Amino acid sequence: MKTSAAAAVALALDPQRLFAQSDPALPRVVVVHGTDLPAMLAAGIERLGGWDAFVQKDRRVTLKVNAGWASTPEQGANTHPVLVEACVRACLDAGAAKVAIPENPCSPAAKSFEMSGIGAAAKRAGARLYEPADKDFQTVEIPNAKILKNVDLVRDILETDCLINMPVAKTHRGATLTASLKNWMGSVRDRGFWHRAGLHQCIADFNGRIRAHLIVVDATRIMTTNGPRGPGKLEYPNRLVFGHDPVAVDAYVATLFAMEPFSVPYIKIAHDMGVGCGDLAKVDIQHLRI
Amino acid sequence: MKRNWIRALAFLVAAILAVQFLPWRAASLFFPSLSPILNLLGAMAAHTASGWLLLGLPVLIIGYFRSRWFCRYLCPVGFAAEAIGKLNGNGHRRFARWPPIGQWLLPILAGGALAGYPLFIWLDPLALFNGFFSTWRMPLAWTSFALAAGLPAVLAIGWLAPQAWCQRICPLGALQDLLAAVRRRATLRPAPGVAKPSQIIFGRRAFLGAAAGGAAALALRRVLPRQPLAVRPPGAQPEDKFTGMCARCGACIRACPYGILRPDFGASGLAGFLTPVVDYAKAHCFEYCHECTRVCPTGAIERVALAAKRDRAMGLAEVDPHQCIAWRDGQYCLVCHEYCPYLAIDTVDNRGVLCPVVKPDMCRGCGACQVNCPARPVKAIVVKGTPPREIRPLDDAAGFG
Repeated sequence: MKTSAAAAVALALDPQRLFAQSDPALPRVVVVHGTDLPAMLAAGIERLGGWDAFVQKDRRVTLKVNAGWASTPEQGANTHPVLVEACVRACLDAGAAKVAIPENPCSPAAKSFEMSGIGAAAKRAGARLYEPADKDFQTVEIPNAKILKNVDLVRDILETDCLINMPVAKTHRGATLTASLKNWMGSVRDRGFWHRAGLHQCIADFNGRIRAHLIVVDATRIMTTNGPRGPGKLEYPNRLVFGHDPVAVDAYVATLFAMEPFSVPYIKIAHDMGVGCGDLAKVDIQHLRI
Repeated sequence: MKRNWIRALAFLVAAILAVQFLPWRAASLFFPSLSPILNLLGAMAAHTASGWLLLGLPVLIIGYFRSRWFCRYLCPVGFAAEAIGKLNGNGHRRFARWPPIGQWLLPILAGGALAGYPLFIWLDPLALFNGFFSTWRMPLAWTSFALAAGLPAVLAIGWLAPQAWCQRICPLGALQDLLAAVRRRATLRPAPGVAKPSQIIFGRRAFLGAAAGGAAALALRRVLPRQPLAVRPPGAQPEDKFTGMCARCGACIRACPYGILRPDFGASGLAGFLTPVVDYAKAHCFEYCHECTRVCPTGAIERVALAAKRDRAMGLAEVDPHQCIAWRDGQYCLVCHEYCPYLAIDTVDNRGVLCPVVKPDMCRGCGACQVNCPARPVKAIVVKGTPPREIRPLDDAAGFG
């Protein structure tokens, strides 16, 4: 695992890629290296055009984090609370009217929000973190889906002016990997159907319908065993991964785990369905250091 | 008059504590712990001791010097029974003809406690009182009314035959009578060679009663483990003690913030009637909660700390490959692995799809897998009761470093 992870790091830090010229025709993934999360967030956003490109004055922002587990930030099962807080503050500073953070967690909500630190982070920064109740879901048709023809989805994900997907990168015994494409499972009412009907196809179907304006993957520490819940072994790539194309972002994240992107079935399916580009040779990967 | 005010106040305080409205959940232990039957006999049966035992002493000590002091000032059941008896002018007054059931119960209780199975501990008035509040703050089911039936039954006796409960049936009252008799015997000094009446009552009869109670308890303890084992709250005594030590007061069921405890109605046999069993229909036994272990007045559920609770087995999960969507349908699932807080689900490759296998040395039987299993209509992973067994601590198996 260690040598393959080192190989992945070498690949990611390949100087040719590091200084590659940006090709506007290719989907872009911006990888920010560092340990100062607010500064890393600011740098990545600046590269993507600044907050003004995403947040309009007096408009709504919805942030989909991973706060699914009663687990501490050090254990790497949830998005880092410092990142969440910085992002909420930046959105509000950019003029957002309100920031909603809906999360349908796996562990009991109160303890997940408390232990993940995201409850306190949201409160300090002024966002509304909540566990959706029945009334907060709305049924959405997905005409192009192969399996997931309709889904009960949190209304704040649907009715918002800026949708930000902010998952944490982890291994996942059932789904191989979890990052941006799979993170939406915390916004739907019935996850069980996805498992019964075909998990990977459902993930791809969903992402064909719902697309975030901005993706920020927390890969500061990644859980490489016993995911998604842990406790498991951790590695520390110390990165945030930014992008618009969830397939390209997840394909890059897979390399952090020394996985071939198309070995993750939902990345392959989403790529084949045209949800995004999982072929990293056709992705413009830009690296920044803080 | 002043005495009735004190009693009414005691009733009110006991009720507030029993309902567990206060944020300090362990406060609900205060009133039932005053009963030496629940507190001391429970500890005797469990072979445990804690600071709460001290609360059982005042009733014994004061009872020795002041006859039935607890009954006259504090007992909420006695207060209610007497109040309702006064309402009925035509009550049957000749309770004195009733047999002294409470006196018979005492040696049976004591012998049973020595054998680890205190028979009839649920007849303690404070347990009956506590059980009455089971319909509050509990997942409402008709069985919760069964748990609440004790106090109304006492009140019915109080209506029909005022004072009969307190004077003839209540084991806690009988215990105080015993103490008063012991004091009389100690202070009276009749001529040598003359048998003293109290000696006859509390000597041979008590010995025979205790022996009978102990023998019955031992016999029951041998028979009971053959019942199908139920999934019990964390910290519960082994099944052969649990059904005897549980006072059916419902405190644990009320304390559970996730509503997974139910009074049993058949799953654990006749001996387990109305004892708490775990129901994983809606939620699992959360790994950061040990509320039920903080309220048990008899120690049927031990007061285990949170860390200790996490290393106690309540049961064992079993995968049914004929229902499992990974094993049967070849679907990517492993929701059980995902939700398991204790790393107790191993995976094996079956034709390219990872499928779940339970690790018995890690599984606590918390039910997280069962609650979240997406298989329909039948869950593919279900927790079953097991005899007590050793499990590995979580840190041991996390695989760090």
